[in-house]
Amino acid sequence: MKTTNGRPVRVLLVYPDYTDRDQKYRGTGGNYSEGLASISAVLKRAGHQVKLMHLLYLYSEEEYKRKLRELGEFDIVGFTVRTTAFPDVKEYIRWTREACPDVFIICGGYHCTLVPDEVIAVDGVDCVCVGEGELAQLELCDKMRDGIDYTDTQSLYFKLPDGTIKKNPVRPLLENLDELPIPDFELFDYPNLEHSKVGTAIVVLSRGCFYNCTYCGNGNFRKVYPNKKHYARFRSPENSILYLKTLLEKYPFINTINFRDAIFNMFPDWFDKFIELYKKEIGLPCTGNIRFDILTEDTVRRMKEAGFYTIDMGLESGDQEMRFKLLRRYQTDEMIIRCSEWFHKYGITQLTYNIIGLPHEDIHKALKTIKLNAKIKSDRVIPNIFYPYEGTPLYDISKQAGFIPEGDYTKRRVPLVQPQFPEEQVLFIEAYFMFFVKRYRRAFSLPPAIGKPYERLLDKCVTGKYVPYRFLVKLHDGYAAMRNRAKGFLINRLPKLYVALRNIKNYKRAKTKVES
Amino acid sequence: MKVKRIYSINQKKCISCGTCDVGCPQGAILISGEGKFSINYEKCVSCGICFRDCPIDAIEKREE
Repeated sequence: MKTTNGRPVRVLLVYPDYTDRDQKYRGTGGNYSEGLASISAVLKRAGHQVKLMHLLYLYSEEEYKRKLRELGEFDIVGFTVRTTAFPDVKEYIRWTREACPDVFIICGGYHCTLVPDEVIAVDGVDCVCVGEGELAQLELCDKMRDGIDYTDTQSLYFKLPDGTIKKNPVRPLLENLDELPIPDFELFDYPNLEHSKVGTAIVVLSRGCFYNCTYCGNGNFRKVYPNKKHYARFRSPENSILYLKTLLEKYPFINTINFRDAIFNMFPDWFDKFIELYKKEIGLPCTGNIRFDILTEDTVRRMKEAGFYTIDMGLESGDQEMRFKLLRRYQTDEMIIRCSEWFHKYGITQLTYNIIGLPHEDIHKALKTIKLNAKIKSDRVIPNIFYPYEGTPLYDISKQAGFIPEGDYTKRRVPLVQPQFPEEQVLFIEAYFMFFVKRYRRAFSLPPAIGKPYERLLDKCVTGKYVPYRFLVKLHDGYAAMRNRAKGFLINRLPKLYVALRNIKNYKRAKTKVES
Repeated sequence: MKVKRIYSINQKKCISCGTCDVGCPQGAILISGEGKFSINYEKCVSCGICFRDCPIDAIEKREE
């Protein structure tokens, strides 16, 4: 058993923060992680030392080991594991073990909560954290410092010297988030994070979500806790304002807040109280992820007054039956259209998240998603290709239907192989999603005599027999690569110009809405 | 005298999160075309799991 004999424990948190695995691609500052900042704050409050290895691109063995040496010596190295980064993390763990044979290696993050047995089985891993990590990590560090047996720490799985696994029960989750310190923003090179460069702060005031969408891991994350009823929680409105004030005091260049809570209006009473306080005490332009089925027009009006200039919402599928039966999202088309009208009325732009390539979906159902976006006049859309996360109900459905191919599907652009919705069609819908949303918007706004034939023509362009899907996808890939390079260049080299262009675009959208 | 527990869903509080439906061992939760939830009393065995799990306490209990 490891001990530091009374000395504070030195912890290194390793954060693989990239999605593009091309080694030529170099990240552009990276993203803030609330979980890591919170763990760091809790450990530092107890006197331990924490450093971050922020991996902005796929490191080679030589680069990784050099960076590890440069950062100093550590007692614990902790890895945050995303499902798609897990293959890379296994390599990083191997290299860490080779460079520092005596270090204690712990893994955490959502992938560990979903499949802890798979992670603890990796060579070199000593421990896996299931569920929220702050208090478990704190107890581990305190016991390691004090030379006490830590293998009974709740929420942690340990690989014992004889190779057996000790699985401790998951501790009850912390119901009052105000007990947590304000996150350690300084763990990161905060002014150089990608969003900081454009004056935006990523803020998370809550934990969990009480909805049961079948593609999301939240349903399973909740199950691991003995007090799962309290899985969805917010800091109190007052503590949330303290969080924001602390952040703005440290980084006065922040001029926009991006709330990344799963559902920002999850608790309508909390939300109403918070936006009143936010308006009075902060008042900066902001955005957040909003659920439509718990909204009222009055709340939308007050959101505008408080500073909301844009919102995100998960539309996911335009097929109501799929939303109800497959996704467990009980929002009718009518409800979505009605709420989006309120946002148009008060000049708040809308971004929608959409999923393409769901199990049992076909191009006709995907077209319904495009059309619903056109009907609600989405200003921006994010079409994501469905990824089956292990442990989620949709993974099981995909597996049972035989849509998950043998071998490593994590690196495929379209993970599911479905005869009724081939890969090239999924990629085509993803690539030309906004293109068609704009054209259907036009079709729906025209008088029926012209609009209807135009709609039928568009339908043929999407679902027609002779559409050259593969060629069109290649064409778009080239364009997207160029556009991303230009955006990266602007954010990194000319951030002020990027912000100015973004503001002009947002202003135009909002103005158009109010005028219409 | 035997006391019977009867559970019902308060429609004003319910946010259609589906937690009761996911947890119900009898499949006794009905979902309307408008996304509204109710209890099918022909299937309900008054186990109280929905009452225990509902994150916003929208399930109400009365005893008869």
